[in-house]
Amino acid sequence: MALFRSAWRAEAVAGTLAFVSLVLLGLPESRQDALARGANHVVLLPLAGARDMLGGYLGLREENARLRRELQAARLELGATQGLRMQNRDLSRMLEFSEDQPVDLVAARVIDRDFGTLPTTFVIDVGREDRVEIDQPVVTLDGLIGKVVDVGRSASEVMLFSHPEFSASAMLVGGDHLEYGVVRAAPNGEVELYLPLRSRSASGDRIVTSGYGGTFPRGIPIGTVELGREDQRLGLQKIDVVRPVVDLGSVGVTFVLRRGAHPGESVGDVPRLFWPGYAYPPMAGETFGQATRDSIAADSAAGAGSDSAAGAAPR
Amino acid sequence: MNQLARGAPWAARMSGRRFALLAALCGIGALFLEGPLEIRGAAPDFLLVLVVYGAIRTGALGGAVLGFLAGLFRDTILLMHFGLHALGLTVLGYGIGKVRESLYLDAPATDMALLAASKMVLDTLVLGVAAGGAWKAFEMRFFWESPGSAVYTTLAGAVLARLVGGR
Repeated sequence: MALFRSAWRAEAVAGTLAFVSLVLLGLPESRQDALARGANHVVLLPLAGARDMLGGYLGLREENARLRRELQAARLELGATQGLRMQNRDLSRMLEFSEDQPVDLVAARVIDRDFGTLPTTFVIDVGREDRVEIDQPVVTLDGLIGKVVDVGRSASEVMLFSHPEFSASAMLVGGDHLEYGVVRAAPNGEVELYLPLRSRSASGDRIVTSGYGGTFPRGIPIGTVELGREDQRLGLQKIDVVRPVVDLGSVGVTFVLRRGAHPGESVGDVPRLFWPGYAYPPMAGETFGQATRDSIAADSAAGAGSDSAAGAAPR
Repeated sequence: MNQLARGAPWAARMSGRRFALLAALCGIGALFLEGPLEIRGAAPDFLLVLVVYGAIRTGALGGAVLGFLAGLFRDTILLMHFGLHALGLTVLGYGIGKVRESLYLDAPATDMALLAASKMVLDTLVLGVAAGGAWKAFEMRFFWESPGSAVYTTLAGAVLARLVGGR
C-alpha cells in the first residue's frame, strides 16, 4: 500500500489539481470572475502598486525634467518679450523725439565700444553712406554722448564726453540765471564744468550745450551740477562736478545730428533743440536763440571755448 | 536506461537559489515583459518556461504542483476562464515530469523541443476553449500566433537556462 502511495502519488496529486482546475473552469462565469478578481487583488495588487510606484517615480522624474525645460523656455521667452517691450518703448520715444527736432537725425546702433571701466569711444553702424561727417553730434533720448571723430563707409567712431580730449561749450541753467562754460572729462573719469569764478552755480542746476562753438546745437542736455568746487591750482575758475544725464554703459541706440532742417544749414547753426522734459525758465536780458557773441564772451570769460577744442580750457 | 543511470538533469543540478532566481525572473517576465515583447501576437510564455524547467528539475509531482500554481497565476492575470491555464499547465507539468523520469535526454535540444511542444499543446487547449466553437478564430490565432509564440518561448527559455541555469 505504501509502495502504491509512493508510485501513484504524483498521479493522484496531478489528478486532484486537474480536477480542481476543471471545477474552477466549470464554475459560473460570475463566480469565476469573482474568484479571479479576488486572487488578482491578493496576489497582483501589491505588485501592481510597486510597478505603479516605480513607473510614477520614473514619470515624475521625466515630468520634472520636462517642466524644467518648459520653465527655462518660458523664462527665455519672457526675457525676450521684456526686451522687445523695452525696445518698442525706446523706439516709440525715439520716433517721437526725432519728429520734434528741427534737425536732420539718423538713428544708429552701437556696434562696438572700448571695454574700459568707463567707455570713451563707441563705434556706430552709420557712416559716409548715411551722410555722416566728422564733428556731427551724437545724442540719445536722454542727452549728449559725444561727437563723430572718424567716419568709415558704413561705420563711424564716436568720441564720448568721457574721453579726455572731449570738450563742449556748455550753458548752466540755474533758477534765475544762465552761465556759460566748458564741459570736459577729468583724468579720473569725472565730467567737469569750468565756470567763471563768480559763478552762482548750485547743486542740481542743469547743464546743456550752449550752441556756441559750431558743433553742438543749443539745448542738448549734458547733466546736472553734482558738486561745486574751486580750481585748486590757480583759483581763477570754479570747476563743478557734473552728473551726466546719459549712462554710457547702457547706451544701445543713438542719433547722429547730421544737419539743420533748412538747406545749407549745419547742425551747429540750429538755434535750439527741444529736448523732452527740458523747459528753460525765462531769463532777464536774454532770449533763447538770439544770444549774441558779445553776451557769450561776457558770460564765459573764464575760457569757455569752442566745442571739442582739445585743451580749450585751462587745466 | 533510467534517469538514475544517466545522472540528474541540468535543472536538478541547479542550486535552489538559482532556481528561485529563475522563478523570480519568469514571474517578472510574465508580469512586465510579455506585453512589450509581443510581435504580431506572438509573445514568450515565461510561466511555461518555469513549469517546464521545474518539471525537469523535480519530476511529475513537482511539475504538476508548479504547473497548477503557475496556471492559477496566469488565470489571475488574465481574469478570464479561471482555471483553464491551471488545468493546462498542471497536465503539462505532470507530463514533462513523467518524461523526465523515463525518456528525457539531458541536452539543450531536448529542452527546446519540450518548450516548443508544450507551448503548442497549451495554446491548443487555451485557444480552443477560448474560441468557444468559433473555429475560424481558433485557426487564425493558432496558425498565426502559436508557432511564433512557441519559437519565442523556446528562445526565452534557452536564454534563461544559459544565463541563470548555467546550461
